[in-house]
Amino acid sequence: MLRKKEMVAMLLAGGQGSRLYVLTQQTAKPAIPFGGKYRIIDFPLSNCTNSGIDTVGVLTQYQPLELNTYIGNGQPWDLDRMHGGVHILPPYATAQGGDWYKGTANAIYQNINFIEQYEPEYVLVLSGDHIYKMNYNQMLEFHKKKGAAATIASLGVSLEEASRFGIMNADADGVIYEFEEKPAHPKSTNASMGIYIFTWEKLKKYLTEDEADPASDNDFGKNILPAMLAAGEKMVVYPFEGYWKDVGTIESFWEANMDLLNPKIPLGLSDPNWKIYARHGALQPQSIGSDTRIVESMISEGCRVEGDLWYSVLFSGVTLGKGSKVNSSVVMHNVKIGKNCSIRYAIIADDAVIEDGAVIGKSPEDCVSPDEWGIAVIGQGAVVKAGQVVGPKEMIAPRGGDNK
Amino acid sequence: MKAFGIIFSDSYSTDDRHELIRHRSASALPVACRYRAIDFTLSGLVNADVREIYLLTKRYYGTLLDHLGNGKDWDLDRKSGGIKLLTPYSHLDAAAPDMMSGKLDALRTIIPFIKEAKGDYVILGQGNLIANLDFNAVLKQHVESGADLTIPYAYMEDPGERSLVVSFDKEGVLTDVKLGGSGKQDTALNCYVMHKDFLLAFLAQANLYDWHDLNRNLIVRYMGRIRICGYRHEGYAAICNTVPQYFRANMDMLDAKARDELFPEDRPVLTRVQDTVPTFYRFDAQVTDSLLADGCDVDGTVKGSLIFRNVTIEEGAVVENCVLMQNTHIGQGAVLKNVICDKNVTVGAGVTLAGSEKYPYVLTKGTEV
Repeated sequence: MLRKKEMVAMLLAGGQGSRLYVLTQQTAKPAIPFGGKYRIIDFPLSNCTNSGIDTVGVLTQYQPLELNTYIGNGQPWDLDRMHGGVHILPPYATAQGGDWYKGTANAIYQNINFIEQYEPEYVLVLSGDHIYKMNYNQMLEFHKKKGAAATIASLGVSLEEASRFGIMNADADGVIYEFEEKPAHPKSTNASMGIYIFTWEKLKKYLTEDEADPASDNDFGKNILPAMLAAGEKMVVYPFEGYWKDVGTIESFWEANMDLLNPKIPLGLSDPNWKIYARHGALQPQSIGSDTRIVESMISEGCRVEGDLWYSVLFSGVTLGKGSKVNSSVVMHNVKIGKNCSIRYAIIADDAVIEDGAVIGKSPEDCVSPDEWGIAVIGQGAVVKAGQVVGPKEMIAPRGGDNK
Repeated sequence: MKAFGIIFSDSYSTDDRHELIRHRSASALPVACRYRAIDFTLSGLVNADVREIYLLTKRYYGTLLDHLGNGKDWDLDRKSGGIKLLTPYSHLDAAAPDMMSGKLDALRTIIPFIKEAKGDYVILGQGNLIANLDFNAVLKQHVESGADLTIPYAYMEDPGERSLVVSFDKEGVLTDVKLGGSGKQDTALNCYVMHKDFLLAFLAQANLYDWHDLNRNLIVRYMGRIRICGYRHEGYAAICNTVPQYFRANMDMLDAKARDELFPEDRPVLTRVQDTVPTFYRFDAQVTDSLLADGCDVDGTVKGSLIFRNVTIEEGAVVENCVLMQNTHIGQGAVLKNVICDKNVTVGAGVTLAGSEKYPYVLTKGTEV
């Protein structure tokens, strides 16, 4: 008989991430590159493996090819296990027909059989669009100590920010008595991080009931959590301290990359005791040319840098030609930047080609009005022709994509 | 035309125990910021689809075995074939060969493995060769030329006194060998390709006559009696038997042409993946003409140097023409010129150290200055 698993993690990776526009036109959000050599999903996957959770189901639906290829057999995260390990769980058809995942709760519901194989006592529900380091095992200990049916990780935010989040109002013991979704007048500042631990027996009951209700949106935040609270289940807040960022929009994605350059930001990316793992090949060391200035930047293996770099993140395999200047930008894997280009406040996706003399983006101080400014985005594999000007806020579709 | 590989972890010569390989196998020498010497031969074999590789270790092979693990980073964790690590062992039989004395003795201890090996041809390599050999082309030439033995060679600058300098006739058949030489020379790369049956017959003879040295007996003794052909390797090649050779090989990597030859896109050099973060360049960093691995944190000046993983260079420090291995820490305002820092070296604030361009100053593993 195979061993039981105490806790199984289910990672919701099927969302489109439409507010990332051209970045997610052909790629699922969790597969978006982040931080020089990672992808967003490396953070929850590495957190799992570092927390001793060795069984992870990844629920995919939107543009799964790149994500599936990336995860592969899970070896980079040490999740290639004889029993357990990482499993990609796409929607499937049965003798009774089949459904797409109708919502986050339905995605888990459709995979009850996957979870039950491991006879877990607890299920950890994660999403694939946050950058943070967290020990889920400590959260589980907290869940057990509190004797809760559900534990929700929470981040203290400012009162102004609180109206952008799902807010949990709890008593002094951390027991939740009310949920408020993006309240105009928040009563507290405990924002939900979208990280849940459920006692499996309880979750299974509420998932099954929710599925039977045709009016439900089959969503954790909208349906499952309120239903559990209404039924009087004990739900507690698990306070998290540290860096956490939702990278669901172009601005927040850009900001989170820039945060890595700030030594004061407490993510601790370099901490050897909590490494973030990623799938990558062995590339050459980065080579820096003779007439360059590199300031407050991050560069990965395989880059060839001949130009100047200020406050920017270069992913692996990027070439930056002579006389080019890159400022406050995120340049993803294998991008080729020619000579004498000017790139400011931009995100350039994998494999894009920026020909000589192209001008992309603008600094906020060079814009006439604040409305004119925004991050310029070049889609995956797109080509910016020699001398072409791409203004601030402008977006260029990925190769083979559409420009809407 | 299936081949298997045998790699010697060391040169089996006692006079090349310089300070950088005193406590590590020559194959485990860190080179080019993120590699170990053996990565080149190992990747060359894998890129030629040789998936059955025997590694013969000699001494201080802990670091080497740690680097290789189960071979997964080279895709050599296979059910059938893959990499087999063969460490020295002692015999009850006093007359049995001692694996330590010469390459031939080491080979004689693994005759049962050679007999069982599935390939028809065998490639013998040495793990401290820095070159990206196209073993497919070597094999093809070996078979087509009808040679009994093929030895890859390269046109190299100052090969060093213990390297074999080779000459061939018009048909490419070996006519002369000598030890060492200055200037540019056709130099053997300590690599041999032959049929498995030829190797087994040769080993039986070596056993009979109690031969130990591979070069002397296979090349010098057999020259003219068997057909020995050369394979000319056109790309970059270096052998790191001495500290100056090691230093020069690393500095050669600053040349884009040498780098392109050593790391061609279609024959990637694989190495152990360590999940280090990207390298950070801080406000006072001034980096030019250098190669850096990931995981470094630079706030000082770096010129013409090779910086390995997880090196910290603090504000105001100047590093020029240096090789700084993994986990080196250079304190504020320190000045280093022509220095090799082995792993885990700490250079305190304000310290000045310099070696000469030809013979760098070496700080051994773990030194604190």
